[in-house]
Amino acid sequence: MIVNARSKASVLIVEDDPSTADMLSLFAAKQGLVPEVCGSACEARHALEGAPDAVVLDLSLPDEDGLDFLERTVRRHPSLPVFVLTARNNASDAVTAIRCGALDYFVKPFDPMQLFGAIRGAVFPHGEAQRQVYGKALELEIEWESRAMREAMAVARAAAATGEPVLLLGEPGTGRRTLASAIHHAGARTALPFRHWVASQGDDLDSGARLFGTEYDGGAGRRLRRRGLIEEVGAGSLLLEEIDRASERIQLWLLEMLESERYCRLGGERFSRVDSRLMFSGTPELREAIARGRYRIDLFHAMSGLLLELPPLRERIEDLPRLVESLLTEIALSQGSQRQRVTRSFMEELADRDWPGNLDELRSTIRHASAVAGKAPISSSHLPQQAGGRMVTEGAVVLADFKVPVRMDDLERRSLVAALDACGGNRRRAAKRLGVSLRTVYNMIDRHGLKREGVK
Amino acid sequence: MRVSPTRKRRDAPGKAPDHRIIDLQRLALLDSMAHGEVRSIINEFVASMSSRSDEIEQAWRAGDLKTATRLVHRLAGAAMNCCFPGLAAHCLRWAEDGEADWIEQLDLLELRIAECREHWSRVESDGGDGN
Repeated sequence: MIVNARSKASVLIVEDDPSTADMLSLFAAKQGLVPEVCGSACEARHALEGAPDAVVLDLSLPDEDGLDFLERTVRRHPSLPVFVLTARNNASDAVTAIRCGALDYFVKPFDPMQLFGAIRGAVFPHGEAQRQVYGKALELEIEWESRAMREAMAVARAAAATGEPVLLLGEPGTGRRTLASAIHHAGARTALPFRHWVASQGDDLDSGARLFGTEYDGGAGRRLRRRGLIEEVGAGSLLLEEIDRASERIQLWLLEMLESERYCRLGGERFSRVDSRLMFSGTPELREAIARGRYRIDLFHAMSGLLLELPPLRERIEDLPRLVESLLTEIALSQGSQRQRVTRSFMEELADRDWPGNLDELRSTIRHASAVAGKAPISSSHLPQQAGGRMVTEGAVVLADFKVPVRMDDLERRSLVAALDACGGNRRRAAKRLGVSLRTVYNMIDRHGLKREGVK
Repeated sequence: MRVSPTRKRRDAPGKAPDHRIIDLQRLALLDSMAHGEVRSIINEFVASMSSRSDEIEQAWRAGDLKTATRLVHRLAGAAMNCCFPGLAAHCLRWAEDGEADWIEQLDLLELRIAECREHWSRVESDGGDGN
């Protein structure tokens, strides 16, 4: 939104507390803005018709949930910068507000210079870019329920504060690229480019040329030069993906570059300094490749200045409610509709799945269920049949392990132990896997004396 | 305090609440920007403390816990902005505790309010350290 240079920008203050509203008005006026105060969502809706240049919104309103009001306002006025102000210093609220379309989020007590400085900045055309950058960086502020993700986030925050190489390991679909982007945007290089490139695509020379650039003799004393990604990114960040599938030659080139902090264009002679912040991502199979001697251990150590391991979704089921909420918010915003509700049975069914495709699979499952449910609450009957198909190999009982004839008792015991192992000791999930009731699983545990043997 | 990529770690969520009765540093900052006007807003806030407490009690006695909690939350926000972090921390803890004993909390609120009033009048009269 661009404000006419001759007129004063107006700011709509949606705040039901008179002291806070007075203070906001006072400092808005001191900053050269024209304040208008509304004490409720209803009043604010009328005031929005007057086309203010920015909005300061308190999330705690007497007549409507602040986030619902925010969502509706951003949908109706997509270019209007909205700043959220709240007494709760809670990162998940901040992330939700940004996802709902807020340009920034401030915690009381507000700093007048920061708040109104940001508002003044937003009435110039950089507002949209700022919204995106804050949104990405705030990924690091989410407080996940699962311990594994909280640990990963702690490493990610540390990574954002340094320029060390980062190695992100995780199964496909665990959000490695999103996290790398968040690390970049939360760090000092946020205004510089962030690029990603798949290290295993093409042959070695193609890959080397794309990464380092090329320099060849073009005849008649001419040099043919082409810049590589490292040069293009400059002091920004470069994420090299599928690093576990890089060939031996690429591994060697990368190791030389990381150790010397210099690189040379293919065919060139001059070495240049690496200014980029380098990040790498791969699957946990990288460790196995190292153990089998198929991957350079020295490269692994050079890449992992900070090692960040992202857990698969099946190991962070506690995070499902927040992930589902966030995906439904995304859908609601993209469709300009209300966020759909979900039933308890739907959440239980999601928790029972193995999610081999991780977050990508969850996203497509939620999109499918949301579309099928229409305006009704999303229930387990709206789930796609095949999505998140159970893993049959893990925890399956192999009959060849038994000496024939097999005693039924033995077979039952082995099946139960395998199912419990595969479900991390979760009896409800084990019951689903075995196709029996939860009560039956408890009876089987008692019958086989597994409780005493330390089954969780 | 701003949640943004450049935010300092000390502002991280979950940091220990500030229990000072009056935040003199913030008061000095606000004073430096709009001395008389800020003091007048804080005076009005201090004068409104008792009626705010009554309003909370009325909502709670009427069984409207949602409104009562919102009013406690609102008082927390106002107290923060008006340089009373101790009162704000008390109200925030109360608003977010689903099992709070409201009679006890209302009694404590009265004590906090009296404390704030006394310290504020001292700051206003001699410009000394309210804490």
